[in-house]
Amino acid sequence: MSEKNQEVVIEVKNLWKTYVLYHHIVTSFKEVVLHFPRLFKKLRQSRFEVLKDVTFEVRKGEVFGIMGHNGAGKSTLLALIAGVIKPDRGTIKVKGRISPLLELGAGFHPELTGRENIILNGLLLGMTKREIMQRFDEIVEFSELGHFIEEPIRIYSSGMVARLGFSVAVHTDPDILLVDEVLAVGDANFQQKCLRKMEELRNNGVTMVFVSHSRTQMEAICNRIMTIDHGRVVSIEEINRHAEEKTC
Amino acid sequence: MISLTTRQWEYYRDLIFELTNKELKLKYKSSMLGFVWSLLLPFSHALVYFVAFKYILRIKVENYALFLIVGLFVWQWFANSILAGTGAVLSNGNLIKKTRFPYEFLVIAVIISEWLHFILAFVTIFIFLAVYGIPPTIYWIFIPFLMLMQSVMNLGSAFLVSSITVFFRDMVWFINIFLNMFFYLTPIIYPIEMIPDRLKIFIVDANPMALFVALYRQIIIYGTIDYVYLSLAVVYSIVVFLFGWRVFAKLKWKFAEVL
Ligand SMILES: Nc1ncnc2c1ncn2[C@@H]1O[C@H](COP(=O)(O)OP(=O)(O)OP(=O)(O)O)[C@@H](O)[C@H]1O
Ligand SMILES: [Mg+2]
Repeated sequence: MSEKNQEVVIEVKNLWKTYVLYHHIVTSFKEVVLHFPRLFKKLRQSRFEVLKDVTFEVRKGEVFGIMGHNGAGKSTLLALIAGVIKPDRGTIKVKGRISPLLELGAGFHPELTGRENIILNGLLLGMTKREIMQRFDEIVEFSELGHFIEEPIRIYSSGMVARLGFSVAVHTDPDILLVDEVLAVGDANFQQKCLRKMEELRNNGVTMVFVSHSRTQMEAICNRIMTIDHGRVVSIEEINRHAEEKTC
Repeated sequence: MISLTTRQWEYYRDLIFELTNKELKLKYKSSMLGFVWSLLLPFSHALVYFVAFKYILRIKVENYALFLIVGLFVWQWFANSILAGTGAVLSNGNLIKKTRFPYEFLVIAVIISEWLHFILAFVTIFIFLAVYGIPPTIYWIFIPFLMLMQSVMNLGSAFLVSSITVFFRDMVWFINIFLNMFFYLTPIIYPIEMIPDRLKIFIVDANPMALFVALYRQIIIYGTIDYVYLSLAVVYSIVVFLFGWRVFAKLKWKFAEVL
């Protein structure tokens, strides 16, 4: 499968991201009042460069993998693509609707039930309630949560939260799916199911950016894998998947 | 004006409805009396002030119970909007970190939920009016407008505190002290007439809450309206709204990083 001439849907160019550690600077008003002059000095010290000059493109229908050590900046990069944080320098262009960031402890309100969270999530993604309800049964069925759907999220196990998060994300017609290690907490069964679903979505032209620490899982599904080390891109490799299509 | 398609209307209606619904649900999650509590609070205050001021300090105000109830309800609405505002962004960190959506709606939902409380509390005022035998007047048509203006001010204040609290958690403490001082420096338990003239400019003219409380009382109890107060209240509301909104818009880009 070659996507060489497909249109670019994510274009990241010379991206720099610095975190200012606000909590490090001011923890209370006391600090502001008592140490005002020192704040400026601290401000400089508490900058932390997470991403340095990152450039890459992702084409429509591609599964783009990102690997790297803990703290390399992978989740930060996904947050930038999702648009929840802003870069300091460089540009990010994204075409199409993005799923919510799928990472551990998905974007749910712990006190609301699974049902209420599905509706809320759909709304935050830009769907009307009617559009959400059309997919509601499908979402619940895929998550296999059964009657737990009426229980508050705070009593869910981490795998159950991940199931619901994944299910909502894939059933809300995203053009781009951002998956950050969520599969790690699902059981083998659910991991297989998710990977199959991702294959299916890819065949439907959905673009995916996939972060995982499992090399085998990545090679099974990605077209290309980018490796980041301390915020810098070290390599982008093509994965040659020959005619032999895996049967999961 | 921005024109919206039918689908967009439907979308924003659903969004506001669901977010408000969520606010209300979380507020009364495991409370038995639920909404009744938010009525009991101002009523209990009213009772205490009534005893202390009417019978001990012997304040000379006609219909003092009604006078208190109107003032306390209007104040409570403002204070509750600010207090609820402090958590509007903070308590939704999970959502903000994962999805880009207009965060303003989190604050709007809080303000609508507080407005619903005020409306329900307001209904009890009619009972007092019936007891005191005070008939409605033509000026009542200003009540919806007054509520709208106060909502605008509450919204602006909530924009301000909700965004600043994300960066300074101490805001909550500050706001408690601020509201406490502000309460006693606003003519709520005492009438404007008792304030010395040289203080009136600070305590009344420069204080939107004093104006709102005075306006509600004029309309409901005394059957008049002061158009100077009304114009000032409108100006203050809009200024507070614009200021809070601007601050929120500036800070919202950092929410996901800090939460
Ligand atoms: N909101 C934040 N404020 C300040 N620093 C942050 C913030 N989020 C992440 N960081 C820092 O940025 C660096 C990169 O974090 P990031 O979460 O992107 O790593 P990652 O590659 O996803 O790691 P992991 O494999 O452990 O998930 C880390 O050193 C982290 O401490
Ligand atoms: Mg990560």
